[in-house]
Amino acid sequence: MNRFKTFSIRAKLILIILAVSLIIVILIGGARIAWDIHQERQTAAQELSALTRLLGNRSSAALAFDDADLATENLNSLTAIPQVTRACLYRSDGTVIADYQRADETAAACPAVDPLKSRHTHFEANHLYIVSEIRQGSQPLGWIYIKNDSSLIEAHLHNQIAFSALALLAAALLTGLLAGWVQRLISGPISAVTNVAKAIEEHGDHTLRAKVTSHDEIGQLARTFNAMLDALEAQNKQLVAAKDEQIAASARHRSLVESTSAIPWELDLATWRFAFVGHQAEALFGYPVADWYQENFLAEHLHPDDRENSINFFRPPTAQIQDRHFEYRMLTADGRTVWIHNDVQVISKDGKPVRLQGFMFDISERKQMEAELHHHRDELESLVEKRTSELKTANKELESFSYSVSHDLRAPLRSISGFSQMIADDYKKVLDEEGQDLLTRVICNANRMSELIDDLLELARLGRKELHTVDVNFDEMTSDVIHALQDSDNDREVEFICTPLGVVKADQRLLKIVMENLLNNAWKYTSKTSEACIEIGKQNIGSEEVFFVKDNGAGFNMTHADKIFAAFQRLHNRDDFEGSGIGLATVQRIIQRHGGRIWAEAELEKGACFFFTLPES
Amino acid sequence: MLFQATALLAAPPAPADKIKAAYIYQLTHFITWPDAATATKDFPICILGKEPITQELAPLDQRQQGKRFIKVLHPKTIHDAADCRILYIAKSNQHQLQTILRYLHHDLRDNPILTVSSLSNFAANGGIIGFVIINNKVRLEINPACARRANIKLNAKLLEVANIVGNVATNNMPGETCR
Repeated sequence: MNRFKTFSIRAKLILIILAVSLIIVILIGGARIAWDIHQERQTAAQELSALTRLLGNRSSAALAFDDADLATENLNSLTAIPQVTRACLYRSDGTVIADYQRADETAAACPAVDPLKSRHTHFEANHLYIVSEIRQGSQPLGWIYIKNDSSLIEAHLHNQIAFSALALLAAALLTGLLAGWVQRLISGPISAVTNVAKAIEEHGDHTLRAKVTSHDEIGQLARTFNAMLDALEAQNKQLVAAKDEQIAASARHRSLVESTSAIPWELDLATWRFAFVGHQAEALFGYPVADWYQENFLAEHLHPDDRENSINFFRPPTAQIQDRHFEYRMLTADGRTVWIHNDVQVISKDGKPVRLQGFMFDISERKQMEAELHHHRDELESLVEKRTSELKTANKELESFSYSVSHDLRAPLRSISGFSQMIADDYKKVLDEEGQDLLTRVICNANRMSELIDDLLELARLGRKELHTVDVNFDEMTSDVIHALQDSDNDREVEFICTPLGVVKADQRLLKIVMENLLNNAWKYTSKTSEACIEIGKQNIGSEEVFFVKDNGAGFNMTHADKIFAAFQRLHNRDDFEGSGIGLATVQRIIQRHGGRIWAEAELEKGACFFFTLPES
Repeated sequence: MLFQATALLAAPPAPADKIKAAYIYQLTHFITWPDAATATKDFPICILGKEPITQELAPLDQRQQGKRFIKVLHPKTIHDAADCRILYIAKSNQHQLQTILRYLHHDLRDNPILTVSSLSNFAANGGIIGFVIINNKVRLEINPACARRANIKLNAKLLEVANIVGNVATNNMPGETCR
């Protein structure tokens, strides 16, 4: 059986087909022969049995009346049947009444009947024996014994066996041919696949394919094999492409690394030596790259001032190393000092740091610039400090100057005003009309100057005064200011629209100055408007409460909006609208002191709107 | 038992009477009586007259013939033999034979009676089966015409072993003709 395993499929197929065919042919042939023998014997036995019965029957009377002549005559009729070699007729007591034998038979007497009685029909040594009892009705009369030479049957059988053997031989031959054909049909394609596989194995030619010649399992095998080859080839191509890609990527990375000014490096933590340093290092420091791989290279080439720090940085317990960066100075081969920024990354394996890698950047230029910048900043700061103190002094001087000027100007002005009034009262008769008119102008201007001085003083005072913040009923205050305005000129008809302003936290006196100024302005600039209307209210812009005072008066050009809050700046001719030019400056000062903002929106001849905020803090 | 009896009867050398008795029994197997005649329970075998065979026939009594039982009877005269199926006419009747046969042929013509006798030329003289000795062997003589007249059927094989005799009366013993 193990030998069989080593045979090729071709040999196995032929052997199997041959074996199966031969077994079948032998089985069928054998069965056929056995059946024939059985059948022949059966037929012979039946024929002989019938003959025996016939003879017995014929001889019943001869036996009954002991007629030996008749019995012998009956038996002699067997000469017509050549197979019968011997026949005996016995009386019921076993004595022989008649005896027949074929001419060539030389047997002596008839066999004793008693031992034969139980055997009826049997074959023995090419002979068929039959023993049959003869009866007339229920009356037993005797026995008949016939011996049949079955050699003829045997000859027939021999012929048949010979024929079967011939048929077997022919079948074997035919089977051999058929097996050859079947094996070509089955093992042929398998051999083809095997040959292709072998060729691929030997020559590595992956473009070879097995020929698909059938649609059965072998065809399927060939197709599957081809599909496998396709997959293999595709995979191979992918691998080659991936390898090319990898080489290209590697080259790209190298060129990228080498094209930067940053110097890549890698340090093995086991030996504390550089494992790799970019070739840029040679250009920057002037040491051959090989030097970097020497022990203690870094420590020996550090700037003396940075040596301790750097070594401390580089040599903490291995487990505590973390990604970080630091800066230090290094000495070059030609004795220069180079500032280095080093980005260090820790490479761990299985949770244990094994390598350090990173980039060194030459930051000497930056360091120099930083130093310069530092120097400039220091210079600038001292300059600003100096200027600020100068400005403060100047401001103070200016403030005390303006105050004292205003204050000191008051007395002579009051004298001018007082004496002029006295002249006007006491010397009215002396002065002609023109003199009186001039005098009135002097008084008027003196009064105006006094007001101007008051305003200036007020403005100056605002800068110094403490704020007394309280809860102010803004509505009531506004209402008071409006009433005062209306009382000042009963002839004017101005419509006031007030929406509730609520309670605010502010310095009551200062807030009133704000409202007086804003409403006064509105009142003043609507004086030439036919249907004057002033609106006071508040609105929420974002999270901020914004108060506003809006009128439909003269307005102004928004291009001058930045000048409007400056002192002594006027956008209108004094002849058109009176004013000192200090009001809005004062308002702005007060709002700013409350921490708020003020701004205006206007359009010439259409009106203006002033907005301001009062943060509660 | 049957076998032993048969063997006994057929065992040679037997005295002629013994063989005849056996043959009479064998005859019952080769002869067919009309159904009506054999519908009875008994199968009477009668012996008319005196002859040594009588004692040899005695053992047949109560033996079976088909489904019936043989009964060996001894009628005094032929007039008592109407129911006999086999009538053995003993040699003592030699002189009354014609009378007996005539009676049988005329008065008992409708009764199927097989007549058997050892008298010479019995069959030729109007009997049905006669025993003769040829070459020291007991042989049969059969008159088929008389058998037909008695309404008795003979098996063809029986005729093979017997001598067939014509229906003619011999000179020395004028007999009844069966027609």
